[in-house]
Order: sequence, then structure tokens, then C-alpha cells
Amino acid sequence: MSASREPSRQPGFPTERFGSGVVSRRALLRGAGAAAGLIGLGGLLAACGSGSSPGNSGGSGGASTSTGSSNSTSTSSGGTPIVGGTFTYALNQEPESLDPEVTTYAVTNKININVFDPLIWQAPDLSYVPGLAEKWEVSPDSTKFTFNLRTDVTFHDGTKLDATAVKFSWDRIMDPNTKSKTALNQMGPFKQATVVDPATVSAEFSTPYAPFLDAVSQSYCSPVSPTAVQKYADQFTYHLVGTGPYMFKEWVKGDHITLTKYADYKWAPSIFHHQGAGYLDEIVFKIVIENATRTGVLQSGQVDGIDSVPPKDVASFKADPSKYQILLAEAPGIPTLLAINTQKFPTNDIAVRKALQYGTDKSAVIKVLDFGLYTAAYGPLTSVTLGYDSSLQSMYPYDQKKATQTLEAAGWTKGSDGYYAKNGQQLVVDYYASNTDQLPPLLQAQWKAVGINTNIKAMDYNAAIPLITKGDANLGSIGWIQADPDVCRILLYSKNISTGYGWTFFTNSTLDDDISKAASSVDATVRKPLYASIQQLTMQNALVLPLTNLFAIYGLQSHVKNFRVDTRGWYPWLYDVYLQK
Amino acid sequence: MGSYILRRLLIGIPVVWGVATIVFFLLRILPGDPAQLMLQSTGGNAAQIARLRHNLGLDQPILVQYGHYLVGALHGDLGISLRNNIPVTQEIRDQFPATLELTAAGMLIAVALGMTLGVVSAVWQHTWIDSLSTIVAMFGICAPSFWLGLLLIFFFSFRLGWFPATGTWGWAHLILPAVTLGTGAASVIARLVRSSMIETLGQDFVVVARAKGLSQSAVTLRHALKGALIPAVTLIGLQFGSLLGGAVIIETVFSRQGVGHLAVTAILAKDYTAVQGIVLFVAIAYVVVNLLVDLLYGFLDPRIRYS
Repeated sequence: MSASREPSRQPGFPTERFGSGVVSRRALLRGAGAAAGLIGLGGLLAACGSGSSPGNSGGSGGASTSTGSSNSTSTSSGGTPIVGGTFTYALNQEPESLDPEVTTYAVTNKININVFDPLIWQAPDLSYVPGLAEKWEVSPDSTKFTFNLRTDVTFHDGTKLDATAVKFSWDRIMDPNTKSKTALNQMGPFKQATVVDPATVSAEFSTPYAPFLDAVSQSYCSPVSPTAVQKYADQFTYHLVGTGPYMFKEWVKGDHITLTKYADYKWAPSIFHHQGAGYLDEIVFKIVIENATRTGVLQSGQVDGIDSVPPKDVASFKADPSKYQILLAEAPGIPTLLAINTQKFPTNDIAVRKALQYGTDKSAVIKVLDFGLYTAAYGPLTSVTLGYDSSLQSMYPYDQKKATQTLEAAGWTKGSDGYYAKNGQQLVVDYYASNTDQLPPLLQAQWKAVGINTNIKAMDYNAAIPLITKGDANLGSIGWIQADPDVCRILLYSKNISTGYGWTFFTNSTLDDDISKAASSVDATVRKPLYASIQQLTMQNALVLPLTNLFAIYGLQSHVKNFRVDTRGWYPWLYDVYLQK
Repeated sequence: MGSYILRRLLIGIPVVWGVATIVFFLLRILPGDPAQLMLQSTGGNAAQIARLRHNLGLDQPILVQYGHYLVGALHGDLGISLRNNIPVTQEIRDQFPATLELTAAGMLIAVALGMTLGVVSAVWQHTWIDSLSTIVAMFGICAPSFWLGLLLIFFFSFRLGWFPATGTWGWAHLILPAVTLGTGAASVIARLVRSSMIETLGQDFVVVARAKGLSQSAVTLRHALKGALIPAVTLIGLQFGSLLGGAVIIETVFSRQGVGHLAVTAILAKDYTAVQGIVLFVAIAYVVVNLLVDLLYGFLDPRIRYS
């Protein structure tokens, strides 16, 4: 029953094969987490302040896929927006808490980006544009960020937005009593916030922290109303008050969350197509965990749109474009891949790692498991990530003969059982997987054909993580959504071995240097060659077995117009949406 | 009677304590760490995980945590939920009415359907009616509840549009889930009532009743059924436990609020305090219901007395 996989579906794992999710149960938000080394990255981006380009809408009706680095593909648009109506959208998971500063789930952000406006927004071209902050400055060493706020913003409860409210919000995240998780991590090495004047607030960090701009572009670190927090304390999650175009109305646990239009909203960022209040009167997020039911409620017209369309149901929706629209959004970041342990036998032998590459038929995986919807990945970054090196596509074509030749050239001999062996030890890889009925057996069969034996170790993903981190596995799956290519450091930076997700156990000073250098520059012409070299080095050493790029699939009725998702492909932008009924 | 109730309640205490203790230690023995799980999407490094563990009180010695848990439970405080900072008692209190409604409706359907089916097949034993109801009962016992639930949703919600597919409150939202939940229990009850009735109907007092000139329905319903009820009541009491468990699946399939749904969410999030609180709550409920069922015997059969 698919419900047992549902609660774990999260960004980056739109396919069911990852069950409890590869690093997925939660938002695969670009963690501000790893990055103490990002120096100056945000600096220049920030100093540019207002560079922006409005999102472009692509396609009309039917299915549209995003290309390049833009995730602003949208459903059909054009025509005069109709004001009014209730938009019902089914989610596949329920937030554990709606308090943006307490929650750890991505799904909460899907709801909260409508309730809590951030200080800045990330535009489709990956630059930052003003939000509640009109302009901002970053100190040259990225330890101090100063934001100049708009003076015309009020919270839903009438409280004025000022520097004191922003400082209050950040201090609340840092307060241990709040038990903040994602928000706290995004604040990084935060030291203190200072109210310079009622419209100016600065944040200081104990070490350079360029990812802070990324952090303040989402709802987790967005301003919350001090009045409401003081009134409701830990019940704030049931009485949310922010500055977004929609106000919190009610949360009926296990059932739905309703937002209602904030009529006085006047500060929409330039990435949207209109100003003023949102078009919809109400937005209702229904919780429908069971896959089959969620597909069914869209088919039967009980909702206007659904999140996470199961890949197997896409074809039936696409077959009727007059009634339904399917939006396929590719996400930037680390694609779904298997990290290969370069320290453990037999994957410590590069011939084995290369044989795995030649022996894997990715198109079969995509056809069988993903219904042909996804695209193959060839390296540690997805194809829409900045700096993606497309020359990798030809490095390891599917070639079973080459796989066996590579093994034999390295001294492996085929035993009578069909598997290779060396010095009396059979070529068997330990593959730690949580959802074992789809991908692992498929790969096992493919590898058997080239003489590689696979020991599939089934366990709950959260139990697997510490074991893979310790080095017990040869193969562990992972994927990660992040707009910035620096995300590859999570997997490839040597300092993350044994402490984080450095599951390749590969230490190389060139790799480390490239990662650090690429992170400290903001010039794309400098970063791209560095990321190309990182991807080349990774694949030449066959550190990972890339499988598929990351996709999120959205299903909508045909009367829903202007539905778009953000740069991460994961968060629907509902402000411009209207219903043409 | 009063001392019987008191004794039963006192015996219930070590049971509940045992359950609470086993759950507490079992959760902590199983691999995986709640703090790491909560932070994994943000790439939390070791320092951040340690900080969260400290904030959540998970780095205290295990016996200290156990002590806090027990002392709190005795005061009715089940702690603060790890994943969302809400008191566990509040969460359970918010979710319980929905589960109660579902379980009660399911139980009602189970008893009504099961009894009817059982009596009918007993009275018309060995006829086609009996065979048909046997088949129906077998189907009810074998059909997995989630499968049945999805099937009902497919036909009655998507195809016919008679009922909504998701949601918790109101009659329309209750019918399909209650039918799904009650079907399995109804089938088991039907089988038991049938054999129990057949046995009772073969007894001497039934012959006497018929000889007295009582109508068939009076004989069956007023006299025979009562005799057949004792085993049925025992079963119904036990079914309550399985209905509570079944509610977990039904609540997920139908996207309903409830303690079952809460339990699943808490378990998947490794929310120790919430899971402990829920299990404790369910254990206490089970003890109380079983006591009520036992007291019901005395009401049904005056021969059973409690000293």
C-alpha cells in the first residue's frame, strides 16, 4: 500500500522508489547547513540588489517541461484574470507544525510562502529581488547583512512591520525554547541582530555566511508578528500572522488548512505579474496522503490541483488536456544517485566503479520505474543546475561488454556462478536501500548480467543513514534539491566524510580546492569551469552512479491559470493564480 | 461490585506501567535519532544535531528521561511533542473525538451487521441463506481494510459522487470509513454469533419455549439470542482493540483526523514523547473498555456475580 511510503515523499524524491526518501523526508531545501565556506558568494549578488527579470510563462495547457535554469514554467496563462473563487490544492503530507520557525518540513513552506513574505525573493534567473526589504548591503567578508525595509507593510493583525519585528523574529529562532530546527540551521553562525533605525535592521555572523540571503528568501526566517507571538506563545502555530498575500484562517488537523485573502496586501515583488491583493478569495490545502486517493480527487474534480502526481498516473491526465494540465518541474541540485564508497571492498577498485557505470541501463530504469517521465543524470549535478557539464553524457554509455572488459583488465575473473572474483573474494556490493521492491532489484538484475553480485540490505532510511555514514555500505542513495551548485559539497567535500553525507569517502585536494574556490566567487565565468572540473573529476573517478534528475509533478484542472513554481521547482507560487470558471 | 471494580483497576495499573516502560525503552533502542531525522533535509552537521538534541532534552541520562516521563504521566502531563512543540495531551485531546466517532460508528455497524448476519444464518442454517452469509463473512474477514476502503472510495466517491473521499467531520465523511472499519469486525462477529446461536437453539429451554407457544421471533430474539450473547460480548470487547488499530489504516486511507493518524505521524517522525503518550493513552483506554465489557456480563447473565 503506497500510503506507507507517502509521508516520506519530499522534494527530490518524486519517484516512489525512494520510499522513505533519500535524505528526503523533509525539505530538501538547500541547507544553509554545510556552508561555512561560502565567502562573498552572496556579497556580490546582494550588492546588485535589485537585478531581476520577471518570470516567463511557458507553454499553454498540456504538459510543459522546464529547460535551462528556469523553473518558471507555468500552466496556461493570458486572458484577463478573474478575481474570486476558492482554490483547493491537495498535498501529500501534513505539516507537523505551521509555525515557520519550528517546522522542519518542506510542505510547510508550500503553505507558508503565501502567509509569510520573505525579505527578498529568488528570481528565475537565480538573482535576488526586493521583497519586504527594498535594498540590502553585505559587508565584503559576508559577516554583516543590512536590510532597508519598506515602510508601508503591515502584518495581518495590523502590527506595523519594522526593524524591531524583524529582530524579534530572528531572536525567536535562536531562542532554545522555540526548539527551532530548519530555521535555526538556516540562521547559521548568527551572532546578533541590531535595530539601526525603525526601517533598517542588520544581522551579524561570527563567521562569513553568504547563504544567509538564501535563508531570508524563504518562509522559515521570515518576519512573524511580535504581537501575535506574544499573545499566543506556543499556540502561534494555530494563529499564524505574517505579511503575505494570504492570511491564516484555520487548520483542521489531518484534513485541511485554509488561507483567506489579505485585502491590504500591496508589496508584491517584481517577479509576479500583478500588484495588490491576490486573485483568489481562499486557498484550501487539503491533506491527502494516499497516492491513489489524491489522483482520484483530481480526476473526479473534487480539488483544483494536486501536489506530487504519482508518475504512473501522469499518462492518464495528459490524455485529456481539455480537462487537466500536468506541470513537470525539474529541480536544481544533486540528482538521484548512488554514492559509491571508494574505501570499502570491492568498490575501492576503480574498475568496479566504472563497471557499475557501464553496466547500468538508465533508460530502462526511467522507462520501467518513472514511466519515461524523467531524464537521466550523468554527474553530481542535475541538468538545470548552474554549471552543469553536458559533456559527461558520453563518458559512460551503457555497454555491458565494456563493463566486463574493464573488470577483466583489472584482474577479475569470472567464477562458475557467473560472478567475478579476485583472490578468492567474490565481487559483491552492499547496497543499503529503504524501498526495496523497485529500483534495487532492477539494478541487481542489470549488474548480474555483467557479473556483479548485489547484496540488497533493506532498512528504514533513517536507520541506514548512520551506517552508510560510518562506511558500512558500498552503495547508498542520495539526492538533494538546492538552487546553488555548491550543494555538491555535501557529498564531495572531504570534511563531510564520517560527519555528514560524504558517502564517497574520497579525499582529494584538487576536489576540495575547486569546491572552495567555486563557492567563494560570484562570477559565473569563474564558477562554471570550476564546477565542470569538479564534475569531471567526480565521474573520472566514478565516485557516484548518477541515475535520474529531480522532478516534481503537479496536476491541475484546466481552469487553473498562471500556476508557477519557484526556482527550486518545489514551491508553487499561488499569488498570480486565478480560476477561469 | 465496587470492590471488584477497584480490584480490576488496580490490576490495570501494572499493565499500563508495563506498556509505558516497554514503549519508552523500545523507542530508544531502535536505530535512528529524532534530532538527526529532523535536521537531515538541511544537511545538519554534528554540532547542529547536538544542539537540537540538547534543546529537546534528549541528551539527558536515559533514566532521568524515564523518571520525568513517569512523574509527568502520573500528573496527567504527557510531555511536549518533539516535532512540533505542542503538549502531547493537547494533541491527543484534539484528535481523540474523531477516532472515537469512527470507532463507535464502526462498532455500531459491526455489531448490527454481524449480529443480523449471524442470527439469520443460524436460524436458516444449512440453507442457501446460510451459505451466502458465510461467503460474505469470509470476504469481510479476508479483505484487507485499505483495499476495501480504496474500493469504496473509487465507486462511491469518484464514480458515483455520493460521498467525499477525504475529510473528517459530518455524516457524509463518516459513512465510508465506518463501513470499511466495521466490515472486518462484523464478519468475525457474524461467524461467532452463528455458531453460538446454533448451539443455544439446540438447547432444551428453546424446545420448552416453542412448546409454550411462543412465536419464532420471540423464541429466537428474546430467549435464544440472550444466551448466545456472552461469547459475542467478549468478542466485541476484543474487537474494540482491533477497531482502534484498524482506525490507523482507515484514517490514513480516508485522510481523517484521529489518534491513529497521529500515531503514524509521530512514529515516522521518531517523536518519542508523542508516541509514548499515545501508547499510554491507548493502553489505558483498552483496560477501561475491557473492564466495562466484563461488567456488562453481569448485566447480561445474572448467574455471573462478582465477589
